[in-house]
Amino acid sequence: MTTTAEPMPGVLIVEDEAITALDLATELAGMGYHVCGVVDTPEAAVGAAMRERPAVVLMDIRLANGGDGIETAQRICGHHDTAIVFLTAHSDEATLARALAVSPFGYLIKPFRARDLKVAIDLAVTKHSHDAAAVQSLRALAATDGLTLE
Amino acid sequence: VLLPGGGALPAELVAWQVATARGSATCAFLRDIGDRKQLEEQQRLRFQSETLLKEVHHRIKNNMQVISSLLSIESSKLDDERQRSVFLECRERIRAMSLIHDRLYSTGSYEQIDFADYLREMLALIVSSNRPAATEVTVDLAADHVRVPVERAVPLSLIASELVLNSLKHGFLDRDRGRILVRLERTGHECELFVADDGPGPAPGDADGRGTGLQLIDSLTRQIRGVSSFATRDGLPGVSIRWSER
Repeated sequence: MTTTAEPMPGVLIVEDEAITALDLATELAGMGYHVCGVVDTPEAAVGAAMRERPAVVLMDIRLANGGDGIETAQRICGHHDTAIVFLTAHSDEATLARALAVSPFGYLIKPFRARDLKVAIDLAVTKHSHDAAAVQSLRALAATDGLTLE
Repeated sequence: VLLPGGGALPAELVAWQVATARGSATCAFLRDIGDRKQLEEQQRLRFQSETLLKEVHHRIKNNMQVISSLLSIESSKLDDERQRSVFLECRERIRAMSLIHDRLYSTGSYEQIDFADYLREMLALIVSSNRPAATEVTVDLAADHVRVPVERAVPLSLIASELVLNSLKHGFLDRDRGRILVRLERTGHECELFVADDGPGPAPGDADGRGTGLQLIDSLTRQIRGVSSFATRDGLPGVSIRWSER
């Protein structure tokens, strides 16, 4: 790691179980990620995502106050380009299908393992930055040739 | 509809007017829908209890996550690698148990699980994250369909994961590749789980670790009224667990 390294990508934790959230924050910080917020309701999640612009949102599916993580992820993606990784105790087909509709970058089943968490977040960060770079170059191309569709 | 002797009967009334040459007439059907009502009620109750069971399993899994997180937070305060690994092992056992609830929750069959399916999934999870970093581990699994009632599923899952974790911990030290052999067989009502690895077996210094594992396996085998023994299959020495479906 050089001293001029870019700041570590930010991760927003959306989890309504306090101890699980604390564990996630500790693990992620230990892996060198910048935890830019820990929230437990849809409203707080959308607010924090707009304010902090995290690279990854780690999203529980069932949130406090009866909130739904999949809907919340949809709302966040509408405002801000970020990678969603779901973390949930749900593993039934119906929930999985609903979650897949949001094109998440990962889907972790509770209880999670530190190793799987790291792989999922690393992958999400990498894939997301590649996608962002691809969009950037497409935009550049569209600006020059006037033909390429964004 | 009120009955003469008291009581009531659910009924459906359909009526309409018919125009005839001699003026209009009313035609009506009264149908006893007692059976239909009863069926609807049964369906409603079944749906309700299924929703409730799903909710319970979801909460169990969430609680297991909380327990696992507590262990993780506590273990992060430890400097000693060996002590930390004890916590990690506990978390793996919680995962093995949690996977049972996962199977019950996601397959929607709440009384029993297909242990062959469980083994396949558990091996995929446990081997990938517990194998020594430098060792390529092949899993050789052949499993008959064995339905296990829920009260036996958790002890059996712990036995299986314990055996596999033991192999991963002791079987493959300083090796590039290794093999874990897992067999699940059923003959009539008699079932057998066999786990072995092609490693050299425990080094003398490992006696402690293997001891606790075997103690757990012995207790859990007694719980399912089974018998554990050392056996050899395909030339590999391993542990056999036999139990009866009855």
